[in-house]
Amino acid sequence: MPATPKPGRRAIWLLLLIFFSVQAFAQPGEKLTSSPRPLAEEFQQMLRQRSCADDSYNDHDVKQISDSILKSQAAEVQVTMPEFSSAVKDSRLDARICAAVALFAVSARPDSATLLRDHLPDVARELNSPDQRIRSLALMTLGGLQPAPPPEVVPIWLAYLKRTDVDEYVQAGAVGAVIRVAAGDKSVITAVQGFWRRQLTEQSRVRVLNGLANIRSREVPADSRLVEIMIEGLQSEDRAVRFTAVQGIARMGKEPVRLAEPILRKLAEEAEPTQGDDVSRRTEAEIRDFARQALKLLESAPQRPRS
Amino acid sequence: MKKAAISALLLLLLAPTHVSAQDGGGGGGTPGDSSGITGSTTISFDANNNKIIATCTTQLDLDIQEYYRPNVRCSILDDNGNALAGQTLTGWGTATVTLQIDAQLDTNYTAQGRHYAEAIMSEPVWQNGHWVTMYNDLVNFLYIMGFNFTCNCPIVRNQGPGPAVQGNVDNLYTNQTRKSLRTPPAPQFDVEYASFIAVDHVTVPSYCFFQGQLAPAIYKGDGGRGTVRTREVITLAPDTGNWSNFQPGTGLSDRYAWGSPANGSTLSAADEDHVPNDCYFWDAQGQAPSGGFTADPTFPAAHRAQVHFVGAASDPIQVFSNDIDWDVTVVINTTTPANPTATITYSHDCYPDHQVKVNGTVVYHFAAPDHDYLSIGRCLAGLNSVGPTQIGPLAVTGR
Repeated sequence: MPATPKPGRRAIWLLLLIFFSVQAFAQPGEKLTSSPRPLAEEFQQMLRQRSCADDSYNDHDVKQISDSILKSQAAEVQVTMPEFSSAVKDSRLDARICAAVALFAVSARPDSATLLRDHLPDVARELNSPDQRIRSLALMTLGGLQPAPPPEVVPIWLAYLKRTDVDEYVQAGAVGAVIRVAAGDKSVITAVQGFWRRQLTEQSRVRVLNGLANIRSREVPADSRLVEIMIEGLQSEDRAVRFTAVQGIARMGKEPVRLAEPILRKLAEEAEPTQGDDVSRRTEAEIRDFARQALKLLESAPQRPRS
Repeated sequence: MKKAAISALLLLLLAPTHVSAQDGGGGGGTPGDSSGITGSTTISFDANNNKIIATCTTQLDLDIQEYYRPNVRCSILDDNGNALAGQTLTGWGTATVTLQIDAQLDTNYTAQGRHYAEAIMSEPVWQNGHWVTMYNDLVNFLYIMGFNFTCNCPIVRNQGPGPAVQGNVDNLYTNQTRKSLRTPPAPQFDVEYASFIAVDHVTVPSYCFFQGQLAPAIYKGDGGRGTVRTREVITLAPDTGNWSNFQPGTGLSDRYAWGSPANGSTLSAADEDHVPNDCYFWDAQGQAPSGGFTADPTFPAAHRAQVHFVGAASDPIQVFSNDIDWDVTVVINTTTPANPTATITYSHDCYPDHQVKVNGTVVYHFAAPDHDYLSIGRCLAGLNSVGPTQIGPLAVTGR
C-alpha cells in the first residue's frame, strides 16, 4: 500500500518551500532582517563576546562598531554614551578596553567635543587605567576632540600632570594635548614647567618637547617660558633630547629661534665628532645640521601673508 | 756464513736512483712526469660540509713495482706551516691518503705530499722452524755477485736487475708535491628591520583651521617612495663571530593640511609650498630620534649569529601620537655553508607595515590591514599587536 503524505507534513513542506523561495530572491549577502542594529545593541553584543582584551580578538567587530559610531546620527551616539561610560567602570578588562575603543571612535567624529563633554570624567578615569592600551587610547580620545577640545579638558590635564603615581609617558603626551588647548594659560605653563623639572626618562622628555614644538606659532605665539624648556632641551646631555629640541625650536617659529640663537650657533659650529660610536657620531652630525637649518630661519625674509 | 757474506755485500751497494716525481699540482692533481714514481696532491673545499679535503698519491710504474712499494706522507698545513693533519701509508702499486679537516673560512690551507718508493729487499721465510728474513730475489743477487744469470722464468721478480741492498738508504725519495687554496671569505648578512606606511598618505580627521574651516592633517606615507618610518640594519658574519655597520634610523615625517593633496589623489611637488605652520599644503616636518633603537648582536653557537632589534618611535609632528613598537629577533645559521638560513621571531604593533630583509631579500612582511585613523590609533595604542611568532628556518643567501 503506497504511503500518502500526512496533512501536517504537507504544511511543513509548504513552509519550507516559501522560505527557500524568499531566500532565492533575496540579494546575495542581504539578511532578511536588514534593519541596522541600534548602536547600543551592537556595543552590548561586542561586550558579550568578551574579546576586546584578547590580542587575537576579532578586529572585524571592533572596526564595525567604530564605523557605526562614526556613521551614526549624533542622537543615537548621544543615547549610547551611557553604555560606553558604564563599560569604562566595568570590572572586566575586556569590557573596559571595548569602552576605550568606543570612546576613541567617538572622539574622531566632527562633533565629538559636544558628545563627550558630559563624559570627560570617564575618559579621565581611563587615563589612570592599569592597562597601557586603555591609557594610550584615552590620551588620543581626550586630546583629539573635535572641532577642538572644550575648556573642560584643561583642569583634567592639569590635575593629571601634577600626579606622580601615573604613567609618566602618557603624562608627557598630555603636555602636547593641553598646550594645544591652552598654550597661553599660566597654570598650564606652570604645570608643564613643573613636569619638565621632574626626573624624566629620555622618551618622556622627547615627547614633551614634541608637544611644545607643535604649538602652532601663527595661532598662538609660543610663550617664552615654554621656549625656555626647548632651550634647556638644546643643552641636554641626552643626544635624543637635543636631536628633538633642535628640530622643535625651528618648528616653534622664528622668534623662538632668535631666543635660542647663541646655543644654536654653538651647536652649528660643533666640529665633526671624532669620539663615540658610529651611531652617536652620526646623530651629533645631524644635530649640527639641524641647528644650521634652524638658523637659516633668521636669515629668511618675513613670510608673505597669504592673500 | 753465507748470510754474513750476503749482508756484507749488501752494505756496499746502493739503490738505483732512476725514479723521480714532480709536483703533482693541486686541485685537479696533475700527475707528474715520472720514469718510475708519480706523486700528486690535491686539495679542495667542501662548502656543503665545511671541510678541507686533501688527497696525496704515490704511484709506481709497473716496471718497478716488483722491487718497490709506494709510500706517501700526506699533510695539511696552515699558513705558518704547522701540520693540522697528517698520515703516512705504504701500499702496493699505488698509495693514496685522503685527509679531511674542518675548515675555517677566509683561511689558507696547503696540502703537502711526500712520495717514496720503499725497496722490497727481504721477506719473511719459514726456515728450520723459524721465521727468518731472507733476501728475496735470487736472480738479482746472483747478478750482483757477478753471475750473469738469466732465465725464462715466468715470474717477473726473477728477471733482474733490481735493488740489491737493504736499509733506509735504499728507499727512493722524490720531491714533495704541494697545493694550496684559500677558503672563501666568511659570508656576510645584512639584516634589516623596517617599518613603513605602505600608502601615499594617511589622514587624521581634523587638525587645524584654515580660514575658519577645519582642515584634516595629512601625513606623508612611504608608499612608492622607498622611505621608511623606522629602520635598523646590521651586518653579521656568523662564521667569524663579527658584526658591523649597525645603523638605526628614522624617516622624515611630513604633515600637510588644507588643499592637499594638490592633485586630488597623491602628495606631489605641488604640495610643497615650504611654508610651515599655516595649515595650508605642506605644514611641518620632523624626524624622530633613533638613538634608543638597539640591535644586541650575539653569537650563541658556532656558525650562528643573532640580532635582537628592539625599538619604539613616535611621529614627532603628531601632537600625541603613540609609538610604533617592535621586538624582532633574527638568527642566521651557516652551519651548512651552502644553505644558510634565517629564523625570525617577531612581535610588533599592527601598524604600519613591518618588514625584515636579509641581504636585500624580504624574509618577513606584515602588511597593515587598514590605514584609517581609528585603525592606526588602536594599533599604536597596542591593541591587536602581532606576535610573538616565530617563522623559519628560511633559506637566505650570504654575500
